[in-house]
Amino acid sequence: MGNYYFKLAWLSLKKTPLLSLLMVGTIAIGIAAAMITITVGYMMGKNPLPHKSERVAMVHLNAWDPAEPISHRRNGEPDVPSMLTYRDTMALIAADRADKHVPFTNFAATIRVEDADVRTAQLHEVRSTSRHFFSVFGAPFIYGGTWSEEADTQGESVIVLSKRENDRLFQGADSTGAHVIVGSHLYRVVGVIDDWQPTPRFYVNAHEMYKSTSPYFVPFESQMRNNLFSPTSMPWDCWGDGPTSTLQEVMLSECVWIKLWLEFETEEQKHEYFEFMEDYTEEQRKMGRFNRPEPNRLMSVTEFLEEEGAVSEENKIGIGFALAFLFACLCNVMSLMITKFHGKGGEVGLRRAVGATKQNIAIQFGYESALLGFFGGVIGLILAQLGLSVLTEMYPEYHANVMTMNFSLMVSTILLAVGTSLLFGLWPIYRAVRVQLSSQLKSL
Amino acid sequence: MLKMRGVAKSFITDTIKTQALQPFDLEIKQGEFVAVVGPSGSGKTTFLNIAGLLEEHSEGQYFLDEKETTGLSDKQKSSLRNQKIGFIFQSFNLIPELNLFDNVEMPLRYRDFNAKERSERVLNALEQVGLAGRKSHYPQQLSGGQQQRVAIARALAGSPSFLLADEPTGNLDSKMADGIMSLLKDINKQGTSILMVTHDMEQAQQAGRIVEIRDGHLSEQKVAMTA
Repeated sequence: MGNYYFKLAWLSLKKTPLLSLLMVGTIAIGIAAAMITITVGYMMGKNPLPHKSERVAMVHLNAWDPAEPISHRRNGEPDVPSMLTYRDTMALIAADRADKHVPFTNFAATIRVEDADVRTAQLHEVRSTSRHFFSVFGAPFIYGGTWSEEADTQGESVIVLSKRENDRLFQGADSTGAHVIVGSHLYRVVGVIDDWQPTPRFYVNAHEMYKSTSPYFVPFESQMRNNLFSPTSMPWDCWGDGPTSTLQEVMLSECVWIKLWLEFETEEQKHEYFEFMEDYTEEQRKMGRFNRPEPNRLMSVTEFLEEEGAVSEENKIGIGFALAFLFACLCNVMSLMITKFHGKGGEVGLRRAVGATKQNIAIQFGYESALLGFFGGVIGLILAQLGLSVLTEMYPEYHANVMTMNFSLMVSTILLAVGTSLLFGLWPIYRAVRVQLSSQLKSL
Repeated sequence: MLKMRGVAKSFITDTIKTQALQPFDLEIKQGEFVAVVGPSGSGKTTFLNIAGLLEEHSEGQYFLDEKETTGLSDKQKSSLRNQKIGFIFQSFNLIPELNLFDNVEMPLRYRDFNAKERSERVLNALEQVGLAGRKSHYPQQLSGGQQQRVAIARALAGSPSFLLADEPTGNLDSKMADGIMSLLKDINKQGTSILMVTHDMEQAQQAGRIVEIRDGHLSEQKVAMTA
């Protein structure tokens, strides 16, 4: 019977092509507007590590100037730094109370292939971190792998490249074992990661979340040993009067400049780690540090995204407006459906006379509403793709992933169109099945 | 087959009660051909709608094949209409976007027939009205008389107990009308009861019985003997 209803729905749409086109077009425009804003909002705020987002957490220690807070939160309360001092970072890593430690900062350096002309060197951002960065944040390798524990502790000059940089420098070949020059230091390639763009890039602050991932990764300790310091491209905040003109001075200072993410086996361990942070803070207080009253934080991925406002209020308002527009479009479609189904009163009367129940008629028109929604959804999906590509051109500062629908969003687009079309078809269908039989049989 | 006892129909609007059909008794046996005549506005269509279970009667009892129809649910009435009654309308009521096969198949779609059974019944019905060779044509490709034949095939496809025909020749010229009347008579001869509303006394005389409705009163008329 499903095929029969589908055939009737198709014939009915073909019978009134202009009206059908108007309804499909109205649904398509409403769906496209809604899905463009929903896509941007969803991609900005989605959980990038759904399988372990509550077991991966970022350390916020309140090591800051007792005189004034580093900044204020959106609710007006004093904030705590989201980065750590070098000494606190090293102390927490040495305590070894988490499964994996991922400290990181970044610097800028000129990079070229070992034998290449010096004029081919390009200035790039380099992420200095631990070997666990890739497994904790889910970066996949196409060649080689991450560096060894020894490379971390000894600060060996090894490097991991992005696929794009590997394509540029080594024409996409397996470059493990090859050498590149970072600044003036020779680094050996140990791995190449595939195209990888978590959206949002949850491990950095909100203003960087929608930018491209770093193209180079080196052991954190190697940055210290090779004295790779670029104060203008490195995020850091300082207080007090200590000197900060060299990397060594920054390492000894109370400046905060290192983010520290941790991965735990269980959430229970995460809670235990917070207790450990409190103990550590207490110890430091005895030495005259950590004199501010605000509590430390150990924020999971989802908490950090929420804190950073990954999805802005403007985005939420935009989604609200788009849904309101979709609602208005569907109200129009509903009124067109009432007209269309009213025009089929004669057919309803005939079908009822020859034995169709009200349910049969409701299902027949339900198929028609669903088919309208499906076509509206498909065209809406195409329009949304066009709209998103225009937005990508307009906002180059955001990574294209933010303006890209994933498969589930595409399926959701169609389902939303079919679902809302069916929902808004309920009233026209209800009216259509309630026609008085005897009065309709002369109007076919 | 069809038995009505004290059936009446009234409409109430605000405080005014209009008696469309006065209480009447009527019995139609299997194989009868009954014509219903009467002037416009006399209550013929109301009578036909009640007989076809398209409208509820206000009083009395209506039995269809011994089954009391009063108080049946909408679903039960739909099922009875589908199995027991074949409708033929003055304006044919074919769906223009469906071909002849699909039009005739329509009532069978609301019954538990499989595709093979449906196909056999449709082809038999079209064969019976002489249009089996045009099953893929659309209604607008046919003459008025042919369209009414398709409507008759649709009414016959489900093997109903009786046919309800509302002015079946009203939209046809006399030659086509004669053709339809002789087809209905053939069908009747094969055992299907027919209840036909008509304005045309000449056609009414071709039925076995004539029931006249005048000002809501239903009465039997004698049929003139025809050669």
